Amino acid sequence: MDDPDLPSPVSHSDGDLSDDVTFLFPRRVPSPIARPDGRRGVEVLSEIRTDDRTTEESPKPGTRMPRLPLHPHPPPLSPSLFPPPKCPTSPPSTRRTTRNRNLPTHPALLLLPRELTLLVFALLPTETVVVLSRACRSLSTLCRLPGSHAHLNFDRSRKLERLVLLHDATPWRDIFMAGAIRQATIDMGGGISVPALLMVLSLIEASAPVLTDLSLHLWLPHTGGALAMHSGLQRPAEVRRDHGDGHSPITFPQLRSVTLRESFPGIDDLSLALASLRQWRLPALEHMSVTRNTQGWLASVADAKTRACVGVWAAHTSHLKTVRVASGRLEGPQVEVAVMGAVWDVIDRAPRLDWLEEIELGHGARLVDYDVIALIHKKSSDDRPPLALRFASLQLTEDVITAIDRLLTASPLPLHIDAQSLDLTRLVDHPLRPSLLPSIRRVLRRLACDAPCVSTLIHSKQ
Amino acid sequence: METAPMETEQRLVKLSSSQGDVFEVEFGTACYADVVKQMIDFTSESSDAETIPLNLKTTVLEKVLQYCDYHRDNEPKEIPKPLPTTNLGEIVGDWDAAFINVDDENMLYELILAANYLDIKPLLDLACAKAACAIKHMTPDAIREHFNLQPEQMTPEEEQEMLEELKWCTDGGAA
Repeated sequence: MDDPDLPSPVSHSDGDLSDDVTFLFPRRVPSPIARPDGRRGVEVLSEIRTDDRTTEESPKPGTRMPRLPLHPHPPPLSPSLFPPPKCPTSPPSTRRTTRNRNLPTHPALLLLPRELTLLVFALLPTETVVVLSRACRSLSTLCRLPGSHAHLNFDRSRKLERLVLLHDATPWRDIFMAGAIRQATIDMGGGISVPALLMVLSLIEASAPVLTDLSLHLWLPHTGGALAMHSGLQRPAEVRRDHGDGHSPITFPQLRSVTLRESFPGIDDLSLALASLRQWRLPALEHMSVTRNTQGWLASVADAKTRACVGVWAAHTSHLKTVRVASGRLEGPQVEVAVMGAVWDVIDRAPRLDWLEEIELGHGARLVDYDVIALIHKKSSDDRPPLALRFASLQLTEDVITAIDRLLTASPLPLHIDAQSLDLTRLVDHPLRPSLLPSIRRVLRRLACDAPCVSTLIHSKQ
Repeated sequence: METAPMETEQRLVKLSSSQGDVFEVEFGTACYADVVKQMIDFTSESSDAETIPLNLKTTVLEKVLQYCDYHRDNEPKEIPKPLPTTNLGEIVGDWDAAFINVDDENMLYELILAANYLDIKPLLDLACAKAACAIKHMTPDAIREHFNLQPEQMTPEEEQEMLEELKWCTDGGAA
């Protein structure tokens, strides 16, 4: 119930509240004093304290209050998800219909950012979507916004998270389902709560029949006990109804490209997210890219779970063409083991590798072992395409040169090493051991075909 | 030295509109807006002379501050979704219903933008609910009329395609 002692606002047709509403607390300075430079300055101080409320109703003692602002240039005001507010000083010039000249001259609803318009739609009953769609092509487009490519960016403001969580009693999720997302880029790099994570996964899964491309960046702040609320990795009720109990596999028959980037500071969150992803069956998967950012003492746990996840994905497809594995910005022996372990798990679990054309080893990786090549050969037919190895940051030291030489010499399948991405700095700057020169020259000649810099290096070392 | 709570609470924050008008408000009122609170938190030391510029028209900022001032001590009611009725008074109470009952529709949409900009979730929900109420029982023609939408009619084929896509909205297909 409203407190009858509290003042009531009054609706004003002229839009000016300051004279009529006696309780109105902030008083506008009627005509700000001009600054010496002629501009109306924000530092103009209000001397007008006509409202008595501030003296009559002093703040309650003991209430924790923020500090007074000092910074003259506050941080950026607009969260990244939504653009800054547009406060037009005059109505934009839009076409005017002849039906009613007293109507507003622009469709204000359509001037809102799409996300905000969807917030309005989210309050409406589901069937209103049809009504809105029939009203005009613009609204129809808006209602079918996620139709082809959904790009969800969870910034730190968590506004999108709130938007997603609205789904329970709104057409939001239905809009997603009806839109049947084909390409989705979902960036949770700003952090996301466990309920929102489940909701996002359910949105992705809702489009499982038609999804072709998915880029997913998972990052969850450590949620501690939050997992207890979601024990058993339960998905929301509606999703369970659609896809079973939350543990049943969900097939994405057309999903060809997955980019997974994960960074988890908490084991619980990691388990929750990757347990869901492990339920995905991707029989058409061709391009898999995994970037792992987990660090510290959690690395070994995260490593096992991520490897299990990509291993399951690989186990259910025979169409793999490219595999890319990297760490984020991390490096070191432990990271190397984790990255190369993921490569091994993919190769080991994949039933056939006839179509595998490329393995790209990103930051934190090292050269693949001969065992990996041998296993690929074992799972391929004789007429398979050559296998390309690419490196994002492999430094071409003498040891690496020697390893490549062994790999090329012994490889049972056609092997191509992309030298464009090799880091030759060490080799150029350091004197070479004479005993290694033959193998180094041999490797460099193999690499020189597509790397002019290597040709230059060969001449310099001869 | 840390400021005593009582002293802090009695301090005023100065907020200026995009038109240069300055409002002096209590901390509790200013901090109802998360963005303003963050801006205050970002500063390391206090100074009474600083003014926080906000990219809002004076009339909009005034209205927003009115809302913040009232709801700093009166928790707003949660708005159910979907809206059970178009009578907002039944949902959010008389004060909020009267507050958001602005005659100028542009003011309503500017309040939505302002609430989003300042990260005032209850105000955003309230303003969105008001906008939704205006749409809820309208026919397509009424929506066109109300929002002065251009007659960008669909062809019969496009409309049929749209209805096919949105079959999920209605039992047995869209009317």
